[in-house]
Amino acid sequence: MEPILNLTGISKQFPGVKALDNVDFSLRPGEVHALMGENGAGKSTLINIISGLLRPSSGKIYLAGRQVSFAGSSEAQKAGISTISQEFNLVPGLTVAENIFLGREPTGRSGLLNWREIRQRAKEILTELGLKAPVNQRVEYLSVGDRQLVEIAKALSLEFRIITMDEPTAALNAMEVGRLFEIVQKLKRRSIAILYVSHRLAEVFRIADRVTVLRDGKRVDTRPLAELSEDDVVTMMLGRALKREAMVSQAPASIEKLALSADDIAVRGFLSNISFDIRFGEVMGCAGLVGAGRYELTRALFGLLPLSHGRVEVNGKPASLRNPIVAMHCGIYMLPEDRKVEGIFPDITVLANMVISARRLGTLTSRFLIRASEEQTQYEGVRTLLNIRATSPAQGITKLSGGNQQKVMIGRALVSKSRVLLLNEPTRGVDVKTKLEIYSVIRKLARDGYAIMVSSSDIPELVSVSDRCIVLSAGRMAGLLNKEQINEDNITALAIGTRISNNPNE
Amino acid sequence: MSDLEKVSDTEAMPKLQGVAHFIQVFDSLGVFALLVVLVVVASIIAPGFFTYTNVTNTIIMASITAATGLGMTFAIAVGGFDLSVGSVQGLTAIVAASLLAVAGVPLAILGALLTGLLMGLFNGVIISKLKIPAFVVTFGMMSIVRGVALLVTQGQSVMITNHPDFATLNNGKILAIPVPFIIVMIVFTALYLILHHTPFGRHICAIGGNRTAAIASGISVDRVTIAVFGLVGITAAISGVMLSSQLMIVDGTLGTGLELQAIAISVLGGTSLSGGNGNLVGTVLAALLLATIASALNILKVAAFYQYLFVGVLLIFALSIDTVRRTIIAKLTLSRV
Repeated sequence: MEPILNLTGISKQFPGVKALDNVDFSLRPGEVHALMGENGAGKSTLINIISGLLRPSSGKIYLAGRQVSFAGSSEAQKAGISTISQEFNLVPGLTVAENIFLGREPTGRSGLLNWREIRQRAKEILTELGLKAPVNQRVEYLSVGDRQLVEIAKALSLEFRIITMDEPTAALNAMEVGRLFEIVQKLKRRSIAILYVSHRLAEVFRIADRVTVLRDGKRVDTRPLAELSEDDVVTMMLGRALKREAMVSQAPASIEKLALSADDIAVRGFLSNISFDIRFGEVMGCAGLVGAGRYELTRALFGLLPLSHGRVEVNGKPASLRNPIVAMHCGIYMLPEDRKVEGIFPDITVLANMVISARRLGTLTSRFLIRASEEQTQYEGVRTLLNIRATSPAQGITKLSGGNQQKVMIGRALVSKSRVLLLNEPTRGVDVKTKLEIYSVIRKLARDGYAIMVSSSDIPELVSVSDRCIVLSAGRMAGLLNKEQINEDNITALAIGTRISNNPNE
Repeated sequence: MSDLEKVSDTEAMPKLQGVAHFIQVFDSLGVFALLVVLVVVASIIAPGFFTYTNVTNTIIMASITAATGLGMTFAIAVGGFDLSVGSVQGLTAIVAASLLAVAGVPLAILGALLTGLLMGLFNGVIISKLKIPAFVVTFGMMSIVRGVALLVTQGQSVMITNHPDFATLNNGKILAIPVPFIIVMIVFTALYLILHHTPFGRHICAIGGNRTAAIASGISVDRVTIAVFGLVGITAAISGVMLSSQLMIVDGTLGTGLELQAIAISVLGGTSLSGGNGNLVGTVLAALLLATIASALNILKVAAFYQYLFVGVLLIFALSIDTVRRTIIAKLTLSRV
């Protein structure tokens, strides 16, 4: 069949890096074409070019046989290409129907909105998609899955011919994923071409007809999935065969005391059957794709999300982690994933930011009055340990570089006197040198007897700091890797959900 | 850290800090300068302004608003505000006056302060436990407390007759300083210590600056919020006691509009409505500023209605300065990243 979209010889040069190198890509009507590759392989760049957000440095784009060039995403939309990304373009305060027809509301002869038509047409589209929510429901009350359907409904109402879906299942639960796939089937029958980007192998095999694998900006191959096995795809992605190793094994007997142990814990809608333990003096990595449940796991252990099942023991005693205050009493502290949102207090000084979670025990005066000299000593100690570059303790926190802000956040955890540290994305947005400094601090803290969990989307990071590593996939434990098993291949393979025979004796 | 960052840390920093620092100092300096200019101008064009009696009266007038304004600054710092303070001032003035009919001065003051505390705690509990915005809760309470004040007095006035000494709270002087101003200085000192030298004060700014981060830092957000509104209630009650000793005859309509004055002086004093910080010095200065304007216009025999115009213009002016200031700071910070 003639492709509706054809890209030939696409290259994209960014300053200092070639994100795409002579890539060919085609999309046929009625096919689901999966795009796969590791982080940094060039997937996002390719999608952005197709959706008009980026212009290729060289190469040609043909739409239904005619050469086109998009000056912006609105031109791509006019040409019939819809992009459904993880961030929805919906207005939360408007209803489902209003959102679907936003900007092109049908009006009657009087120029007033034709509400009956809006509702009627919205209802037709939604019924077709199987979305139960009433059309006059406001979007802010919908679940993530339902919002996504509204996005798809919008694309359908515009009669788009091409829909690109970027990690559409990342935030969906199993039921919603099933429903999405049914809809994708319906879209196929309507001869809509779908570009499907996902990290999850199982999904791609379930839904896609062809797959294009990118690696380091180059196209490795485009093949029908029917002729491939999961291992073939992983090999294409990694550029080498996956080393088959025993993925799950018992932790080596350790003399160190258990710091935290989670027994079959679950968070409704996000995590289930999670069991692991962390010892004092050890760094436990936590790997997983976006949406795999890493974020929820650390939040649940810090009392920011309720556990729906299972028990947690801290220091050998059962702990009911209702809120962060209780968690801190148990000696747990969490470094938030996004320091801007949940970390820094923009209006107060570096010093005040660092000591905000300090435990205030002991005499009445030390609990209710700030002792400047004591804080100064604490601050200086941590500043030296972490090598924080601030001109003075009274400097505003927002005036530090990202790396130094992150160090202040780590310092906050140390000042809290907690011995179990949950570090989310400890090096996000920091430069390479600071990154290495933070790694060595993490290792030093472990040597000093802290129990540390590092949750990160950066797999090389996990490889370099972890003693052991749990890998989450779609809210479940995909595996627990020992020191000698921790490498990028094993983590990637488990995270994308490759079914590997897990018997170590095999 | 990369070389690039090093450069910006050591060389670009002092310059940036200088500008940002100046802008921050300007918060209080602006009000202070304005106050000095106004006093000088008023002294020249309004003969009789710069007399001992008039200055004393102006300070007393300022003190009554300042007491509540200081509390309001706390409420704004924690990320809210309290619209019920005017009604609480009215109710507590009535409580004080009514108690004076049956009890002594200390008990009457205690009763009024307790009433204010209770009203404030109630605000705080509803705001934090039911997660209703401070605007809605205190707006509702403004009406409820006003209703209570009118109901208990049945719309009648309450006179303070058997305790003439109660008036010294208003017209007394210690070392030639009016007692109301001394009271405000005590409130100011206490609140200043709390805001800048206790973990509680720091937690207030943390919650107002970034509520999500405060929760994730193990701060008892609810408890701090309740305590702050309790404090605001007490300061409103202090104003109530001061007002009743000034008037010696009170009724249920007292204190109408105090909430807007209190917010106005907080903002004029340099406390940003977006929360996260409180400028208590600025609040006191701005209270003096408004009282000076009122007094000068009064001596010049300008109708009192013009005062409203004046205050409004000043407020919008101050808020636009605040916006400009924040834009500049944001730009400076942004260029760092």
